[in-house]
Amino acid sequence: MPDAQSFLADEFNICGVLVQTKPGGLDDVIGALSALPGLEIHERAGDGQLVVTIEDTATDPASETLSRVFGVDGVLNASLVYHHCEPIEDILSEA
Amino acid sequence: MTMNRRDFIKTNAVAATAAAAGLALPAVKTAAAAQDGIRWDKGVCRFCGTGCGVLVGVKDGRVVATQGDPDAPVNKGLNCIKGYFLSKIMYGRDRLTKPLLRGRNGKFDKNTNEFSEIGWDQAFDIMAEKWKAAIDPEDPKGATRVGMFGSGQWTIWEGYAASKFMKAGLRSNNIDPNARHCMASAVGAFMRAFGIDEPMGCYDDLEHADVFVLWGANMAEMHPILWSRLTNTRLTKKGCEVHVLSTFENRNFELADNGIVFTPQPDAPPALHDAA
Ligand code: SF4
Repeated sequence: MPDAQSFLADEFNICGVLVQTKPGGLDDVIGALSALPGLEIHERAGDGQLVVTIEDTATDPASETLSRVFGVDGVLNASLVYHHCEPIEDILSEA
Repeated sequence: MTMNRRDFIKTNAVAATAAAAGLALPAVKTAAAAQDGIRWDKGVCRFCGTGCGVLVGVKDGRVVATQGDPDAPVNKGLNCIKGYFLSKIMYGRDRLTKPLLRGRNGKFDKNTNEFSEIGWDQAFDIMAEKWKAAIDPEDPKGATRVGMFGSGQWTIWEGYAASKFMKAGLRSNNIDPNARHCMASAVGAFMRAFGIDEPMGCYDDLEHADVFVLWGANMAEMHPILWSRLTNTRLTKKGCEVHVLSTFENRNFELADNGIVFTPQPDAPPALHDAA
């Protein structure tokens, strides 16, 4: 495996993830999720679903954080809806 | 309003995810997305047998984005986390992109474990030469000395071409996909248990069923997208029940109304035990 750091330095990497939580514990789940690196909660949908994005941070690749979402108590499922990964120089040149 | 490209991509990620949840966010520009220089095409994820539809975004000849296809009846806009590697896997730095020849000094030699890069033309020439030598048209059994392993995930067109190449071209019957290995045993078991082969049921049952029994199936981890549909049904349908039978407590148990952990190889089938 190429080491994670080499990915982080030169790519803009973002995931749009739909998290399904167990009924009842939404606030706890939100608290635990917010503590994960590179994770942002954007919307609450009906039936305990959360719209979140996960990005690489300087130390944590998005793929790791994504896997950690499943370990959060009260998370029933997390689905990847959108994934964008592009070399950073391409993004800067168009910014 | 100008938005830098990073924010723009993030907005797209949020909008697509919200849409998959049935949330319409205030008109986030599909028009703007079209101007982003990304060309979107349809594909299918090959990482497991669920067969999720995927939209694939290409920019300057490189896959930069993937999205669960909202119109695909199987996954309805969702992908599982394995889908994360759909684009990544193509650009991994350790990916093999050139043919390697086993041998020394550009000459094939089966007795060494050294490999070196060669060109595609040379690779095909060497393969053709070896296959021709193995087949030996004078020998009626010549064609049995070659074979091809395909993949259960290859496309219809790839399978068709491979089959014609082996059977019509080389006159060999030695072609099979890996699916033969995995399904042959399952078919045998289905015939014994139910008198008919092939798995029963269809994906639509995930919304129509009232009771789910997961016996030795770790759906939450192995078929996450179908699991998300089951989860949805369990949480929204009144009276819906999920029974999970396993030799250890797997992730399905989080949703189980009735989770049963049994010791491997019990004397009586656990279902009888539970019914008694
Ligand atoms: S469930 Fe995951 S691995 Fe399987 S086809 Fe869908 S996205 Fe791919």
